[in-house]
Amino acid sequence: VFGLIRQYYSNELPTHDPEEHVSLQDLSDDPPAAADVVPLRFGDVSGIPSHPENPFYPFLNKSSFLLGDWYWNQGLQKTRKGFRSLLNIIGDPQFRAEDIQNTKWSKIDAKLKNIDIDNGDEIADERGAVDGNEIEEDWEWMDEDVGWRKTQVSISVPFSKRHTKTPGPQRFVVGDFYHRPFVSVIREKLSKAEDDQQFHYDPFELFWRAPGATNDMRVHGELYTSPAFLDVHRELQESAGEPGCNLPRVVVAMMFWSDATHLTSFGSAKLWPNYLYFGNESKYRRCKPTCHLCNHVAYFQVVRYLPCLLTGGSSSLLITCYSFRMHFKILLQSICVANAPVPNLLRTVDVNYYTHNGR
Amino acid sequence: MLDDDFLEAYQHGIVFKCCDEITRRFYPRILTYSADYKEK
Repeated sequence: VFGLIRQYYSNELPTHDPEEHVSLQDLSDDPPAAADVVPLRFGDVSGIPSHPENPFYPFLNKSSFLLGDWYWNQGLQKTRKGFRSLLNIIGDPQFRAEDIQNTKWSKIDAKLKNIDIDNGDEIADERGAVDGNEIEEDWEWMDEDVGWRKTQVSISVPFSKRHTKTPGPQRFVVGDFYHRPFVSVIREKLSKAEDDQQFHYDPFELFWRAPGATNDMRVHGELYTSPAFLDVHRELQESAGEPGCNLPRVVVAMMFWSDATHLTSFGSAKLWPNYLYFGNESKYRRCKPTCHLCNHVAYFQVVRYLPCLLTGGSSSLLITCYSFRMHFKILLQSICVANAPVPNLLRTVDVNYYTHNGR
Repeated sequence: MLDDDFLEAYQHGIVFKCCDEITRRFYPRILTYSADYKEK
């Protein structure tokens, strides 16, 4: 299209052409034709684990589910409309009063509270809220592969003579750091058929020849047409590889972003998420929120209270940076062992952090 | 987070059967665009 030429570095033609499937619809924000929109049905909500034997889980039956839904989703005030919908529920011929007689509402509410919408886990450390004899059942919810993990972040803080009798560095626990294992995010990505189809396994160089020109011109735009991706790809293909393995080797390009996010229009509730995008996917799809290509992999902790303990104007900034660095260290610890240039990477993170704040 | 799984994947790849029925070995690498607007 548009006279663009792709050049791959391989002895064979690529087995998979993601761009074969791209339609104009995929790249634009125009609403799809009404017929293409599949309405979301109950049970379709991704991430919430399905209980085939009981679609109303954690409610035991439909009657309980409808009442629970009425209680939580009808708004805070009593309204005529709400009253009518309550009458509709209990007036329905399928409603069975005996179904709700033994419903343990507070237990169900506790379960609802502990469901992590994003990945269907019940949050591990709040399992105590659930009755002891149900723990076994709850373990089915704990899919270890997709779950969030919790790690304590601690930093070393220098205390001066003025503040303590024993000056010097002391460990300070910043807080709990929630993060997702990368491997599970990658597996989840590759197993989604609709994403995998447009996932670029092979990087390529993109060229364009202007009308009348004799030379091709390199076109830059996507990560999978960038020299960096091509270099890593080439390096991987030239490396020794796994003994006895002839499988095609593919680079999964992980791109991280982070910025503080306000959660509400009023008030100061904030989160500091760490996003992961895959550079194997087109930027035109990544920037479309409806494609759901952004992955939350971690939530950073912000240091509070601590700066007041310290003297000197730059200390608080240093502490924040250091804490930030510790977070990244936890995230990247594994790669560190794999001989990747982590020290450089961490330095970049620090420098960006300074620039970002304009200080 | 001492994530042995990721370390293993970084060095030896993750074998995964893709949706086109071809099994490939995937190696995670960290690559990124680096750009930012100055806020102040």
